[in-house]
Amino acid sequence: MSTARGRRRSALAVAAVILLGAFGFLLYGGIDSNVVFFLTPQELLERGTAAYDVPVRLGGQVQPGSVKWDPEKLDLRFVVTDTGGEAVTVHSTGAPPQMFRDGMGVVVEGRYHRDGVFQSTGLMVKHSNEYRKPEHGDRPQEMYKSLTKGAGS
Amino acid sequence: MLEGNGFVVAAYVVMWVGVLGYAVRLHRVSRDAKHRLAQASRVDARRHI
Amino acid sequence: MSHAVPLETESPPAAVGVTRPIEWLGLVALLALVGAQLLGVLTSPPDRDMGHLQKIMYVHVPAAWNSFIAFFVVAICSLLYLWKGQERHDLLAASAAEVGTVFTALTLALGSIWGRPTWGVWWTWDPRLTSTAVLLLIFVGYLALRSFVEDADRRAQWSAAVGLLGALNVPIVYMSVKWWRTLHQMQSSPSTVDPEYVVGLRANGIAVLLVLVYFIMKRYRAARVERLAEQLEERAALEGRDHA
Repeated sequence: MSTARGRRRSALAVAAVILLGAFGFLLYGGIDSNVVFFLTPQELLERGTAAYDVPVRLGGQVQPGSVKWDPEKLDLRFVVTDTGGEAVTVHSTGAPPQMFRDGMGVVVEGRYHRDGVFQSTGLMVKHSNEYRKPEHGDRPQEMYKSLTKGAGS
Repeated sequence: MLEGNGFVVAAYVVMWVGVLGYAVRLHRVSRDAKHRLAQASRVDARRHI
Repeated sequence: MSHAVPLETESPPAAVGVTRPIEWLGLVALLALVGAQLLGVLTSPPDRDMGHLQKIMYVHVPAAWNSFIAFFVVAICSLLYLWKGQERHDLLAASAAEVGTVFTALTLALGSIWGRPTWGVWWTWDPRLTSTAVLLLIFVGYLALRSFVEDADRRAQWSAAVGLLGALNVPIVYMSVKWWRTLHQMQSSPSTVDPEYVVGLRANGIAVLLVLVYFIMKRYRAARVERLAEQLEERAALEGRDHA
């Protein structure tokens, strides 16, 4: 009886290893480059006409000086850029997250329209992995680097 | 200063509810297990006398 | 009588009631957690971006770290069980899995509370959040599986397989912020975190580790008692059937 149980156990161990291997392959090898949480402006514009009117996420840095906020109409316009200098104008309504400001990393959900404006349905602010005392100067460039890592070139 | 203090309080409340809640659950689980064992032992002892 | 199930456990029922040292550990862990939180909250200045929201780091990050430690214990014990077939490894894996599940749920809840004011959303399907949710679901499934399977050997074997599979997710969750583009920031390190915050974070990490060890030991002890009762009940049921 104990050998039967032992055999069953080793069969199970083999099954577990196979399952783990398959699972590991799927996650390490299979999906990696296909899963992109957001597109950079460059990647969005490279899509050409295919980029129009489909729901996507656009990620990048809020171009310093580009933010136009109308508190009466809750109307927000700004430009998202990437390191390559590509830029996309974003239009959003409603109050932005309180961390939103010039130079911050953002991820915008919405659609890119034929008039060249990205219409936002959801605006998220990306925080860097830095925790600094207030005395330190802002370093949006470093935040941006961490934001666009892995961006196709 | 951001108006985030409510979120901070909420986070610490959630942490303590989680930790203390699970501690209470563990206490009950231990107590129930002991009762169950005592019950099973009584039945077993009666059978073997 | 030949059908009697031998009781595998070495501790007789009477010895199981001795729980004093564990309760002392629980008390120490509780005090450490209070102390570490006070240290973290009172000694660190508000972050330049987040203000006091930074204080959520002291509960979110230790919960995440310690859930990883718990699932590492699950992986080791599941392997040991598959290798040696000893019941105690199965019970320890189950105990660590339950505690790890609690801490993963806490990690997600606390992260969500931080994300709402920082990111602007409670939740988004970015790779870090998604993989953490998958980790949680697998271990909720693990616990459900254990409660549904009545045969102890089969329960232990299936659990070991699922436990290994689930624990394999931990390195994926950990690396997700490096492998994929995410909204979640990358791992912080002492070079990206000012020393004022590092001390509090480490203290809280250690305090939650004490809580974790206490929880796992306490759960394991209860699991041993449960198993012992289960074996006695099985034996009674078998003999009852023979007598009938």
